[in-house]
Amino acid sequence: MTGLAGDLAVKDLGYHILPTDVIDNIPKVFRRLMNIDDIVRSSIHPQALKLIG
Amino acid sequence: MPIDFRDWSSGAITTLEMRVIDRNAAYMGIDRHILMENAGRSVATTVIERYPKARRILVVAGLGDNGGDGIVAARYLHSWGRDVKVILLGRISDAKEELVVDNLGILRGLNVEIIEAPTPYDLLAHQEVFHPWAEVIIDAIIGTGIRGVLREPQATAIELINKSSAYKVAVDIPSGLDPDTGEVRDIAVKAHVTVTMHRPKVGLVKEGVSQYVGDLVVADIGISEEVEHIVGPGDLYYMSYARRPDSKKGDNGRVLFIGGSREFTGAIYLAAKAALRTGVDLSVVMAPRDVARDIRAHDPSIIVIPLDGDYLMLNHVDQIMEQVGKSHVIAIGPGLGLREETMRAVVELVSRAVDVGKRVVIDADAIKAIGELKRQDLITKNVIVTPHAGEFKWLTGVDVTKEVNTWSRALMVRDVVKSLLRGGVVLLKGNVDIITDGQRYKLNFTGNPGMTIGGTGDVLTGVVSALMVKVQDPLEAAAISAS
Repeated sequence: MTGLAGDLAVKDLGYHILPTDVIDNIPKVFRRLMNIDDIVRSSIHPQALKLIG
Repeated sequence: MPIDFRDWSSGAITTLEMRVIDRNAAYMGIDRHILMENAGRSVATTVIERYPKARRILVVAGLGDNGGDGIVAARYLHSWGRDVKVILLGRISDAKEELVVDNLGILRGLNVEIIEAPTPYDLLAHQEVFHPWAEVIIDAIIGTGIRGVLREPQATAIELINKSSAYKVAVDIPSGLDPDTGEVRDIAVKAHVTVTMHRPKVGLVKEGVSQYVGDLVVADIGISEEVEHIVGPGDLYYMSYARRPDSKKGDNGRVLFIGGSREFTGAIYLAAKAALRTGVDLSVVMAPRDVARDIRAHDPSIIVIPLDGDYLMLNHVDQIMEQVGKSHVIAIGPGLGLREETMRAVVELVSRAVDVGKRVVIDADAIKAIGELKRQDLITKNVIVTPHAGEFKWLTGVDVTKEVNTWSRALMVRDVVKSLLRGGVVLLKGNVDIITDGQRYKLNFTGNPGMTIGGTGDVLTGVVSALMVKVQDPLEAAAISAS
């Protein structure tokens, strides 16, 4: 998680990253590696899904 | 070439571990096509070696990867001059797995009869193929993917296989046998030989399963040993990401961070913030008053409890232990400083947290405190330590930088951890991270030179702490955190 978050941060910003940039990329690593959309959508009420898509 | 069965009881793996290895092999570039090709060829080779006089060979294949292995075996046996028939438990058009579709496509172009059998009646209409036609039957119905009670036409197929007088060769697992427990809920193939892939599965070496497994052959399908020691996307299978619908605040993790000092205010904040981004519900920081005030002002998402004074001291321990009891994981170290009393407070806190069964992450100055006061005995099975090479030397007295080869360094670190620590996990940060509990070891190759900026180690501490909530095995929690 940390290494990949750092790799994503450097891909965006070059060698000008802050530790907070690494933190901000942690959710993106989860999204790339896991089937998060399906897991999260299954936890949202069907009526709400109609509104938020 | 297949390896004959000896004593694999200590080297057996679970189906989960095999899934991790499969995915990490693909990550290393060992494509699943290669693995299926090697698996099928190993099965065919075993059939030829064991039953050289057999001419008529039946492959009973499911629609999953296990069936794919059988279909590849059918192709090789056909090429080697055997009369081969395939009974497919479904329609060709029902196959959805890419590798199975591909290999079925190849086989359809050859002079091999494929009988579609989506129902038990289709099987019964061809039962003469099971007996007396077949001299060898390859069971490629269900592999490690068995779930619950057997369905049709699988159950009838297994029954027909067992009734036949042909020799039976099972692919990976005798169909119907639970690969993790060795249990048979309903019916299972009674094989003469089982060709299992890469390593034996735990269920194959349980007592009482030999009537189903027969002789166990372990096939080398081209997964290099290094694959088992690298951290890759497969390791994420060990993590629990989904949340209970009825979960409430705190159920998904409450981590207590202890750190900070008059000189270092940011480190413990970064760790706490990283834990929240990794998915815990609550990050609680206990820090000296000025540090606490700064974090409060900066970030309202973190709960901050101030400690009197500018440094962690022994008289804070009882106050902190009240919070330890409420937390799933305790992380200690970032920004603490190295005052004598602070170091003694660290040792006291870690000792008491371990005693009450808490999971503990030790980083930065807390590692130095443990090393300085020679309390390596505190690093027990629920403790993760996250040193860089300098801190590792402080902790163990060993300079790992002398060993320049990464893989040799990993073995060196493993041996040091085994001899000096008490079952805890060390995550040695570096160009290539090394994670070991003294028995197992893993290497992580992600990260880059941009991460030499101060604070990324504290971020790692936060991620490790969060994953200690979500991952059962501390070694895997550390490995996934580093990746």
